[in-house]
Amino acid sequence: MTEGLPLAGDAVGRLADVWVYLSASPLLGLSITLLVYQGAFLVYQRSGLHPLANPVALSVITLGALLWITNTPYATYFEGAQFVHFLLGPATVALAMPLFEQMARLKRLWLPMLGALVVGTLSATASAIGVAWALGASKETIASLAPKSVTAPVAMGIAEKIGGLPTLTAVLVVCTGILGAASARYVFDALRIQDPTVRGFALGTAAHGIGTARAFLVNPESGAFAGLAMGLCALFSAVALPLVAGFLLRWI
Amino acid sequence: MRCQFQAILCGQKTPTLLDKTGGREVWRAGYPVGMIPALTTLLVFQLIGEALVRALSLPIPGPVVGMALLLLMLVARPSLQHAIKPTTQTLLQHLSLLFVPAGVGVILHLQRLGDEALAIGVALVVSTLVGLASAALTMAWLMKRVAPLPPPPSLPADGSAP
Repeated sequence: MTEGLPLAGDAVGRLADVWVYLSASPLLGLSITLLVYQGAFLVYQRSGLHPLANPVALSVITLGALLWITNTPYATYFEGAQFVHFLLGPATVALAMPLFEQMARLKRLWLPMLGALVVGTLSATASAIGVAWALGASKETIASLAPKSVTAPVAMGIAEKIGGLPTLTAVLVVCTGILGAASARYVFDALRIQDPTVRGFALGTAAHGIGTARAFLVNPESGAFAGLAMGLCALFSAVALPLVAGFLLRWI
Repeated sequence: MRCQFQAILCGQKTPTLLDKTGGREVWRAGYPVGMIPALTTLLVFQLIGEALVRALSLPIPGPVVGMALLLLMLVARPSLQHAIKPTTQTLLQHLSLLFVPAGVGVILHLQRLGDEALAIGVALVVSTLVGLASAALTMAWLMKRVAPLPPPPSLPADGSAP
């Protein structure tokens, strides 16, 4: 240790030991994810649930910056964060509950919903592929973009099938969700669509879970329909997108 | 006790059974209440879904099959909803949190995202707006044609503060 300041040197050494332990343990990644999210959610609430103060966007930027500053590899961070990521599965199963509560509506509106689902999903995929191709994106990027309006675990599977990068798809899925949740209000107002069932369903179709979270916060009825759309979109996309996107990708 | 069970079977709002020790509710409508039983239910349905998907090599993700099975179960046994509702609500209220770890993966792809920023950015914005607008317009149009019954007036979705 340094001769002048043995105590300070000791303390720094101990701090370094603590950091070495924490940075290798999943506890840090998990707690920091939850802490940052709570902070981001507080900001979101303070802003009056402003769509542009999306808590996912704020959390991702903060956590990304933290990892970058501390030079922590994503794999190390994910060892802790995977416990949160894992809950996407049970949360998808949990969507059965709001669906069940909207059963009566569901039976009456199955045809409009089916139409919206097919048109919404296919037009989002085709426009993503088309625009990215026209602007000269690489084939891998285009394949990763194709399933971006599907919920993360499903989209990653589709991307893998059609030659994209699953981890890039996960990021693009999150970006899509944030964009959709942030812009939905303005799009629907511009189109003069007021019905909460339509607004919810379209948001769930185009912006999966992040759109669904937004819809639940604004109106529980829209939330249920957004959740339904997200579940149906995952089902439909898992079957149809590998075929449609695969076909489009072969042409470009 | 007897009449309580009868009320439960008839699906009415029932007084709940309390355990003697703490007065905490442990059973409702014949199902255990609480976070652990609810999480177990969700996980078991996901597990069944994943197993079915693997066994039948379906192109659908396991959790989606699990969701469909749980929905069928709820239709068959509506009283199950009381046991799982609080936990599913908590989970779905914080759905955004679950996307954060995947989103942080952005740091793995900064290079590619920087190189192809224009194409990716424009494609994301355009396709998201196209998806939102086309889904909403299609559904509104079909609702007018197929189900002209006007919905009850309520707050606009994603509009003003809740």
